[in-house]
Amino acid sequence: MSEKSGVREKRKRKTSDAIAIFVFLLPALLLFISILIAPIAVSVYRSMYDWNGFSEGTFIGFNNYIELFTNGSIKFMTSLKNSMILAFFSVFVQLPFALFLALVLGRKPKGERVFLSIFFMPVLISTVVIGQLWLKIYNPDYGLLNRFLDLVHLGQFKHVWVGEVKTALGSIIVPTIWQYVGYHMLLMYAGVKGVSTELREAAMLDGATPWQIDKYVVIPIIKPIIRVSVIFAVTGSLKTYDLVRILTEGGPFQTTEVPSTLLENMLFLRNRYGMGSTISVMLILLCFAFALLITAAFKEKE
Amino acid sequence: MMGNSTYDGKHYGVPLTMNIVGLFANMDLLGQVGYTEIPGTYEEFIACCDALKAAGIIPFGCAGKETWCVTEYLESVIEKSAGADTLNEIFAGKATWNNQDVADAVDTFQGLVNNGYFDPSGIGLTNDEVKNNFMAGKYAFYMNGTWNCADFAANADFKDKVKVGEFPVINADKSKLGQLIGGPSDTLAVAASSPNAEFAAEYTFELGKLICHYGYLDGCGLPAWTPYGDTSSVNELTQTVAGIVAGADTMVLFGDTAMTADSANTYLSYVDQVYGCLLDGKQFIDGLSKDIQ
Repeated sequence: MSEKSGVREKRKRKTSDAIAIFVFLLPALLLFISILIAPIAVSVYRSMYDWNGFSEGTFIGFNNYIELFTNGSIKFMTSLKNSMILAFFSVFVQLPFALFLALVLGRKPKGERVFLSIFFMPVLISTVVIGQLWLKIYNPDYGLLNRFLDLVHLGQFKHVWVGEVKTALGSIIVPTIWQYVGYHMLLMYAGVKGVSTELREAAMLDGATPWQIDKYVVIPIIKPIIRVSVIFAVTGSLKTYDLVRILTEGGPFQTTEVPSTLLENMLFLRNRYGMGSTISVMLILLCFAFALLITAAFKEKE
Repeated sequence: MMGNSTYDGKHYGVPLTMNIVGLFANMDLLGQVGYTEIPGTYEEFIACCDALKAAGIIPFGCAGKETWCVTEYLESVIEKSAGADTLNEIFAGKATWNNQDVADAVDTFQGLVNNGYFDPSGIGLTNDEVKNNFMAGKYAFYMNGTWNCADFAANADFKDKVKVGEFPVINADKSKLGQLIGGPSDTLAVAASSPNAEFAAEYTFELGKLICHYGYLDGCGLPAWTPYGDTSSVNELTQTVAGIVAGADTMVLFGDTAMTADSANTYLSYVDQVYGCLLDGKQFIDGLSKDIQ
């Protein structure tokens, strides 16, 4: 076979491979476009309209985006600040605690399975149930927390936990962290379990203590999982809704609003689908931006 | 009665029932500070609140988790300070919120909050929780819709303790007794495009009257239509409310019902901020003038 026909054959095979790849990817691509890209595009389009969801909308350009920051009854900046605080506590309290639990359970302690199930249990319970449960704990009159404070003679620390500006956001953060610690723990636990025994034994032979093994061997290996957890924690905080809705409904005095509760308010209470689309576009942009930033930060470290 | 469902001289709905905001009082608690009736003037009312507070009794219960409950207090204060006509004009969009009388009334309301008359734990509670607390004797007063009469009257332990009255006049130059918050707002309507629309509309009128009649007998609201037959079985509270309404001068529909969905929620947001003392009267009227077009 001549050199020329060999090159032609190779090119032909490459082309047919490319077509095959395209054909096999096409269903997924169509799904991706119809489920993800198209709704985002529609949201961006609708965010430029004053639209009540029923009648024909009026094109108003970026007015919704401007109003988002200037209307005194739409607490968008407050909602963003609250999401950021939630993200901070998720990343710097929830994840380290989840990592700690994963590392401890990864050392195969007695009752490993039992502890794993106990820590993971809150993830399995419906958020509505968790919200109701914590409402009973926080109730100012018969709640477990205030009753306990009375019992230990610390009545001066009693609060209307979900009703006071100072304590309401904290009252949301605690159950949120509690609920999802198990989820992140399980992700990290899977990573810890994946670290080969040979590596651990080699480190032990070199005289490393269990904590040194975790610090210098296990954690660097599970870094990609930690990165995923950080992304989930931050974007999850931006998208948080259910516990806020049940515990405080954005109150007191809208001080615990988050973007999703505002979104619900705009869509279903105010019939402002244009403004609702604006908030969802902002949410999408923020989630993407944070995911990229976190990925870049982890790459930098590597 | 038909005004709230009339547009351009045409009636678009059949009123089912009507309610007003009532000042419910636990007379057992008022009795503990020497009152046998609900105070009739604002000065007496404030003196009563002070006496209750001094006796360790919380004067008002209000559900902060549901802002419409705050409006039951705030709108009554505004109406009895600035006058029903002013409030009606504003709610109907015929006048701007930029009204000094309204700002002053909001400051008066905040004075009640800052004086510690409201239960602080109410901020984190729903209306049902606050209502239960009122029935359990935690608060002396509860301002809410007169649809509560049925529940209060049905509670054997509570029905003899509770009385209902009208919020007192704050500024007699601009308001008077008989200016009430409420009116018929729930209506039945028939879509013009529905088959046999005329026939359906006739039936709707009769249905509306029936719902109204039996709602009144059950104490769930006042009649928006003239009741018929024997109505002596209606509970005493509802009959008292009927008496108050019979002497009504002007009705102002609940603000969040009178406005469009967007304006109503903007309004509720500002009411919420006033209740939390995050805004004063001036900021309240400035913000609403800017954000409600």
